[in-house]
Formats: sequence, C-alpha cells, structure tokens
Amino acid sequence: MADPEDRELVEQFARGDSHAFDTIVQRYEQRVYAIALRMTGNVEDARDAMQDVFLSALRALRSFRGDAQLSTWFHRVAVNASLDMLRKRKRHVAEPIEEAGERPSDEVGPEDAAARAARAAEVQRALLHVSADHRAVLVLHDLQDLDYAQTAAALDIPVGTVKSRLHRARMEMAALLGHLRETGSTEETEPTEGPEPLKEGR
Amino acid sequence: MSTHPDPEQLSAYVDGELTGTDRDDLEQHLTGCSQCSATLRSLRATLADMRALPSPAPSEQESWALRAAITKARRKPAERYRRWVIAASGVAAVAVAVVVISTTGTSTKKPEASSSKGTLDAGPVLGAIPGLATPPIPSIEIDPRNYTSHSAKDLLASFLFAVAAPAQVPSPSTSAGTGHRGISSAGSTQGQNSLATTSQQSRYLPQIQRCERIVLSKDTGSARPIAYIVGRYDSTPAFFLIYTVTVSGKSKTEMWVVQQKDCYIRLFLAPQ
Repeated sequence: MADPEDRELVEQFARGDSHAFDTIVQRYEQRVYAIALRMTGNVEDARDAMQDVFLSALRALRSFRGDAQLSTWFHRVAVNASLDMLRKRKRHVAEPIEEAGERPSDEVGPEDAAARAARAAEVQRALLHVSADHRAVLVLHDLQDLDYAQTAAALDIPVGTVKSRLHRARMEMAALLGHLRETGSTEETEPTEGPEPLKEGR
Repeated sequence: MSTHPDPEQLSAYVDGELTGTDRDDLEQHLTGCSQCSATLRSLRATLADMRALPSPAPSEQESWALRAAITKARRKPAERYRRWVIAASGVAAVAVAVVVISTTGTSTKKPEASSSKGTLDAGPVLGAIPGLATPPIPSIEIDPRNYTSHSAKDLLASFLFAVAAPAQVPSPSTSAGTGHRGISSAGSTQGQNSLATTSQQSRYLPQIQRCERIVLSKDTGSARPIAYIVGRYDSTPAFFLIYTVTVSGKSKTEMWVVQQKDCYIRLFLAPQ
C-alpha cells in the first residue's frame, strides 16, 4: 500500500543517494508546511517546525522500514513538531497569518476577495481555539484530505476515535464560526431549506 | 419520526463514509427531522469554511532556509575540514586567552573563561586521536538550566574552546576535580552542573545511547562523544550530545539537542 515512488526514494536514500532526499523534501515540503501553519497559526512556528521535521527525517529515514508509509510518517512528525512549537509558546498566536486570496476565480471581485481573506482569518482563529487533538484531526482530515484510515495511522489512534473526535471538533468549529445558535440549538435563522447561509467556496 | 441517529453518523454521512442500511436509515430520518437536518447543514457550512482556507506554501526564502539547514546538517567531510581551517585561526587566539584566564583563577561571565571542563577530567579528548579504538564514555552531567537555541550556542562554544586548547587546563578553585564546568550564560552563576550519580548514570545512559544511535548515522564513524548533558531545552527535558568529529587529523565539535522522551531532534549545531 506504500507509495512505490516514496519507497524507492527512501531505499535510494538509505543506500547513500543524497539526491533522493532532495526529492523527498520537494515532495513533502508544502504538505508539512501547510500542516504546521494551520496547527500553529503562525508563520514563524511553521517554518521552524518544518525545519525540525526534515532534519529529523535526515536521520530517521536512513532506517525507515519499507512497509511503512512515508506519508504517514511525515504527517505524524509534522503534527508532533507543531505541537512542540505550541508547547513552547505561552500564547498560541504570534502574529496572524496573512491569508492570501489564492483561489483563482473569474467571478470573485476585490471586495469578495477581501471578505474571503477576513473569513479565512476567522476560521484560522477558530482552529486555534479548539484543542490540539481536535485541531489535528481537522487539519489532517478536512484540510489535508486524508481519509479516516490515513488520519488514524498518522495520529496513532483508532479509526473510531478519529470519527468521534472529528465530529466533536467540527461541532465546536460550527459554534465558533456562527453556524450554530448560542443556545446550542441548530435551528436555522433562514426560513428556507435551500442554500447554506454562507457561500460554499470549494 | 425515527429516533435520532448517533450524531457522529451525521459527520460520517457528510464524508460519504456512511453506507448501506445506516445511510438509508439516516436519510429516512432526515426527511422528517428538522433538528438533524439543521445539524447537517451546520456541518456542511463548517466544512465549506475550512476548505475555503487557502493552501499555504513556504515562501522561497523559507524553502531556501530549509535547504540550507539540511545542507549544514549533512555536510560532507571535505567541507567540514575546510570550515575548520577557516575558523581555526580565530579559535586558537581565544584558546590562548582561555589558558591565561583559567590559570589565574578569575571567573567571569563569559563561557570561554570557564573553569575545567568535564571533558578534560574524563579524558575523552583522547578519543579524538586517530587509531584509538573505543573512546571512553564521557561522564553524564546534570545541568539545571533551561536552554534556548541562543544559550545552547554558548554551551557548545565552551566545548569548542576546550577541545582546541593546546594544554590541559587544571581546575581552579571552584570544582573538586570532578569535571565541574562553570558555564554561564546570561549572568547565571558558575558551577551549577553536577555529575550524575551512579543511579542517574544507569538511568540516563541507555536513554542517551538510544538517542545517540538515532542521531549518529552509521556513516559518521569519526564522531566521538565528548559530553553528555542532561538538561532542558525550551522547558522540555533534553539531552545535549556533544561530539568531536575527526577528519584527516583535524577535529571539530558538533552538538545535538534531543528530547529525552523520544529523541526528537530539537537543534543541531556545528559551528563554522
């Protein structure tokens, strides 16, 4: 089940091919950074966590077992490195991330782009309000698009725990983001059954 | 209306992970339950918000800094030698100052003026001599200080000067010849370190060696441990593993800082 390209790269690296490691870095750099950024909420921690991950990989991958998934390893170590950064800081947020409106769209004007950036900042702030455990399942499953099994493997927890944590985390986020009323009831304020109250930007 | 499903099923349904009769039952329930339907909409809206987050990528500078850090960590022996030669002239001058200051017994705040190093008494500098088969295991020191990356550099610097000193420096007053090293950083007092007791040694040494195996690849055969320090790094219990790496008769000093509990690498320093 392990990615054959990953497996080959690790084997080459173990045999002393340093270019293989460069390729591994290229493959996983953005993923690791993205996980660290959403987990820690700031760029400095994400950068430091990313470095920690790859320096750790430099040593650990020499003795990596072929049957294990390299992606699982990187996901796990990225989450752990992020948790380290969070433990290190007293406050969870150093500076807020500048959310670029990266999503290309013909119909999104400048006001909409600004609104999206503001909303993204709100979502990131909400992410930092939930517990680290909850944040990890949200980041891996909902943001990194891992499935339940991959998320479970990365966090070394049972699939059942992923499911329950994910649901609770999402409900927490829903409350923080205003998708639930204060009383905890889920009555919609809109009378219609149709479109969602907020734009769905996928 | 059928009884409410386990709320988790709503998340599973949104994820497309609910199958068979469970899904059918849920869909049936939803047609008649406004509360669960509303919860479902909340979940979808929340997911939409999260997926609308931009996918961040490291900046060019961050990518470059990452690669520089990697290159530094796996520097080839030839490069190590070259950097040592460049640094050696500066180090030699300071090493002379170390001898002068230490033998007069003056204590100052600077790390290079500290008293006898644990390395000298334990003799592991001998391990740097080519041809010597098994270097002695350095004594384990317990250091109560909490280090940061900044003060960790000072810590390593003290070993750098110790290894480069042309003569063994006898310990002035403060230590009892047991290898106390009076490292100060940011004004802290000297002589805070203590050698591990026998029971501490038997507890820490296996942990240290476990981390050492992870940290040193089988290729770096020329690395000899000169100090094992048990302390804290960023408030996390950590080991400070200091090695002399010998290439063509020339030595340089490197330090790994790893977390005690899982050997997670926090810092690698190899001064140029």
